[in-house]
Amino acid sequence: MIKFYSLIGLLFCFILPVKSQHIIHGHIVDTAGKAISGSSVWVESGKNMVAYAISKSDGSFKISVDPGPDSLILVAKALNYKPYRQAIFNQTQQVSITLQSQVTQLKEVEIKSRNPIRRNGDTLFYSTNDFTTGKDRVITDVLKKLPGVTVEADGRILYQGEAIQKFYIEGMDLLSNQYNLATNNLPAKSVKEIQVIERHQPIRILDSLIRSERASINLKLTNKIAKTGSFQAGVGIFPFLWDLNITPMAFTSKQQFVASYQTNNIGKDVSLDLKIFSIEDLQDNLNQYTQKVDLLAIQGLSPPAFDSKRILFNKTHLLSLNYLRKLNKYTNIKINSSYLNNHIQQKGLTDTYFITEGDSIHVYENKYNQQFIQEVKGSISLTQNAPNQYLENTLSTKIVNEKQEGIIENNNGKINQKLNNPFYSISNKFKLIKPIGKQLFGFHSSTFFNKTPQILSINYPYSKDSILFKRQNILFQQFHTNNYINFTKKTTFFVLFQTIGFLYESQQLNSSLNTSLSYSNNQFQKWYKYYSITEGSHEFNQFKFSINLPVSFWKINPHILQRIITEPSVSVKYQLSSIINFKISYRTTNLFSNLSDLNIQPVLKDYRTSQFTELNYRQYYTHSFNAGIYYSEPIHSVFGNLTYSLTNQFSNALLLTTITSNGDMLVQSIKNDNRTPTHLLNGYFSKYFLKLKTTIRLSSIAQVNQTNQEINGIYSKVINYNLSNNFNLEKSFSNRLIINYSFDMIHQKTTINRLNSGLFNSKNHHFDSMITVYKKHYLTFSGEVYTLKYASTLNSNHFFDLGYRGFYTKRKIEIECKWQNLTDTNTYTYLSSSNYTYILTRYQLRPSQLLISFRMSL
Amino acid sequence: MKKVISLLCFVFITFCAYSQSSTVIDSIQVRCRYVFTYQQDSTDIDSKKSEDMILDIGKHSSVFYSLNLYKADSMWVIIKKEREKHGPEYAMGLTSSLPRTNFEYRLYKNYPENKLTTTDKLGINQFISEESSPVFTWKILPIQKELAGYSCQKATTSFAGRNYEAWFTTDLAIADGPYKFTGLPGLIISIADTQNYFSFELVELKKQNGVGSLVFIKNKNCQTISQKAYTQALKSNRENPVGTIEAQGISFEKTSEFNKMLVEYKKTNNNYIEK
Repeated sequence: MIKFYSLIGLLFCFILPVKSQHIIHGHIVDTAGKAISGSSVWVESGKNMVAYAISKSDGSFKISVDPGPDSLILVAKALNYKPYRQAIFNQTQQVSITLQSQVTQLKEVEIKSRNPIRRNGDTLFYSTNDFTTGKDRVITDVLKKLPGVTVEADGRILYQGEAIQKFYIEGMDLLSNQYNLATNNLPAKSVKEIQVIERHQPIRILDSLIRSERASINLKLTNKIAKTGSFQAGVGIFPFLWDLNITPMAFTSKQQFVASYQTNNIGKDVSLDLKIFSIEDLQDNLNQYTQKVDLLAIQGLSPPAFDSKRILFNKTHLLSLNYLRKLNKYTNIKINSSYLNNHIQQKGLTDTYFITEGDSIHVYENKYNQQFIQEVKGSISLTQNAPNQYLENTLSTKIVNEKQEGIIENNNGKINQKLNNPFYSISNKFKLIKPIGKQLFGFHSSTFFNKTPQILSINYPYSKDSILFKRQNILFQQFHTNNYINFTKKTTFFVLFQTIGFLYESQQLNSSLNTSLSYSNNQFQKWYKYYSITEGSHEFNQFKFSINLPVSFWKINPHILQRIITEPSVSVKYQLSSIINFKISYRTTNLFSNLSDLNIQPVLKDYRTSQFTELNYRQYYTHSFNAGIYYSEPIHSVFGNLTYSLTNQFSNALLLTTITSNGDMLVQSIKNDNRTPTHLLNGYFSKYFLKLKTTIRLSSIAQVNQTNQEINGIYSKVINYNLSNNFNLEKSFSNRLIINYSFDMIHQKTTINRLNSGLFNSKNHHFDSMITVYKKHYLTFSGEVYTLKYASTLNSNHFFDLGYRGFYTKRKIEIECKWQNLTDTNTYTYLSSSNYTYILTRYQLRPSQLLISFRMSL
Repeated sequence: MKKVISLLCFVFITFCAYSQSSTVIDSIQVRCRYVFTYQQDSTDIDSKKSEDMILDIGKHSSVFYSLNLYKADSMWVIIKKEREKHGPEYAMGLTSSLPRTNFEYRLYKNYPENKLTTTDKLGINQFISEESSPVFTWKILPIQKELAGYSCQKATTSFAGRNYEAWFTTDLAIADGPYKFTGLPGLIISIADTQNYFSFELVELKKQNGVGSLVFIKNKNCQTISQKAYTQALKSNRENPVGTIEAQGISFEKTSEFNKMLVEYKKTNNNYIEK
């Protein structure tokens, strides 16, 4: 019957479309007569809603109904009221509805995660099969597609927008956040399930104390015992080029193993593949102390600031081995090791101009340098992650066996330099977190021993003063231990973070130089530092203050120094409005230089530089003041800032440099209070033009730096002026073509005792474009032009690169083709300067080269 | 690029005054969780991403926001407390673990006044914009199906250049829905545009019975702007995402690699819910 009516109604609609609508209007009130707003009112015909309204704030509503069915059902519903249903005639009318209160029994719902995702407590399970399509080769391709997971350009994994904390394979943390090695090489088909553990607190003792919001990822493998991996190969021409990467892996329930062998001669820096995604333990980063520092050198060639692909002539082999074994439920032992064999060549010409008052010394050198590096690194770590304490101990060692050879041709002939510069280091890091009472304490201890024995030998085929051979031996040894406890205290005004610690370091320097005369050094120092670091912060209205107050008692033996040193820092931020804010800060830092820089008798640093000092300690104390105003107005896309900084470095040393007419340099440092001020002014402006889809940016940096030193017996005030301007334009023509152009202008000037001693200008143009040819196939083209003007000489260099990148879904292969340096520009000329030298370098670059590479799974 | 941007954004989150003021404007009756699925790149179906969004419904108003935004805000409070308890070492890890969201807006709907108030953060700037709620012309279709345990009715509309299909239930007499959608005689359970670039699906609904407060959150240095200015700022921010960061004195080296990343970023972020 109702169907019949509605059919009739429909017919009427077609036959009499002009017939006016019926209007049902009325009020909805509760039993107390109060208007109910926001309630739903509608009319039904059959089971279908034909028209509806929402009641207004005064409870009124108005529904227009097509004249069709004779009778309708009027329904009114509101949250926490009993529904109202009433049959009415389909005609214009006024109705009054009274709703009775009733606690609405809401049907609560929670949709269980649909397949192929399951949820169990805090863990999400993704079945790899359901997310894998033809083009996915390795596990990172699958991770990218999982809902909630993002993989960034460099390989970092985010879950729900946050970086993951740990990356496990079968519940074990083999790679310690170097997970690129696994994600880029583990084939998708080897993984059965990806588990995302939300709110994962990797340190069990903190589990109940500190809620972690970060997730960790665990891969479940298809087979309990799995052997898998990936393979990448590339070949190219001019000269013969290779690029190979083989990464096999093996996993069992108690043990894990990942190896990687990589070799190339295309200018690729393989160490980037071992990138660590972690910002933990930034405070006591032992890595920086166990870096190799060369005390002697062959006369170097500093490369221009280009990508390594353009400048690095290498033959690299890298082998990385990683092994983990589970000892019990809470404890595991892990070994990470690598072996690097690298041969690097550099060729170039340098013209070095020494700026001395009234004198002009010029040294021309044609250089060919070679570096042979063999580096072995290993670390073994034990982690106990129990519910009542966290303990971690890592023992690392590093052995570098390095040799360098340099041939210099200058006006006088050929000079052979040989450097034997190995480095040995062993270090240990200990960390314990334990609760004492209600307070958690952290105990940290790091210790290292470094040994740097180096030998530089130089052969002069020509002879002026009958010296044909020079040999410099140096041995520097360093033992360091740093131990501290940290905890937190709260006062009414400030929150204080407190660290208390003790540092001990012993250093020993032995050196001998054999020329016509012989010089030797045998020195030692012992450093003791007892320190306390107090940090506090406070917020007040638009202001934010922070204070950092390290106080340390220093003692350097034998009888060198004993004093208290404070290094206070203060910063204030003031937010004037949402558009403008100000920041002001003042910082001080103290630094003592190593004994390796405090040789009393001369050390031959390179074939024409000798150095010695009369100081028994060298201290640098720096005050820096920064002020800035920041402007950002995103409505019209106008942004800018202006900052100024003044840095004053105070040291107790003055350098006396003697330069002979053939460029030999003797650098002596004497006791003399010395101040080095630097002024830096920085400006930036950018505007985006919405209609033109164009961004322009202007930036400018002005820097003035003054150093005092004595050059060839004359006390000199050396002032460096530096001004650089940058203009950048970026324009999108469509989503398929985007171009970017930038222009840099750099002026540099140096004066010595107010006399101009050098000026140069450089101008660089840079052009980039990217075109999408078809879906996942891209073409890139870029060009660079560099011009340099000094004295009356003008130098110009240009580069062009062409590239193609494509994904072939069917064969699961990624192909990349690069034609680098189209015009075969094989040298690059640039100017660099220091306080009293200008160096004009013609650096040999990688020639035009073509490389095709592909990647697939093992 | 995104990494650079997100990293810097994160740095700013920690630097920027997190001083917020909250005003209680209503009590929460019902809390709904929707999964918002969006396709950033219209040419690549694999670029689909999703985020959990919350719709808190009060007696006469509602607020719609990202769950991660809420988490990040409340975690900042936790971080401050944890620092006081355990020291800066833990704060370090916790700060970096702030959840990230692609949606920093909160949409407040005032039912009786028919008003829509948006708070949003573009770069480091916070804005408030007020407008009258957009008027949706809904067409109700005689098609029904069960979704999330509710019997739902189909309705269609168009908004900001896209056509939408929605499913609403009269079992819940709430004339509201995810995002700006409103005006049906029942809660919207699911809504998606016809090209299926953007969809909101209800996955959880819980009674609150006025236990929680519906609060209006605004930062101390919030700037009130017109709807037109807000739209313009939104568009500029999409096209010039690094502008705000550069304004804080952090400069990028315009290396070709960076340019490529910027190009890639723009190319793969070309699809927005409001055209």
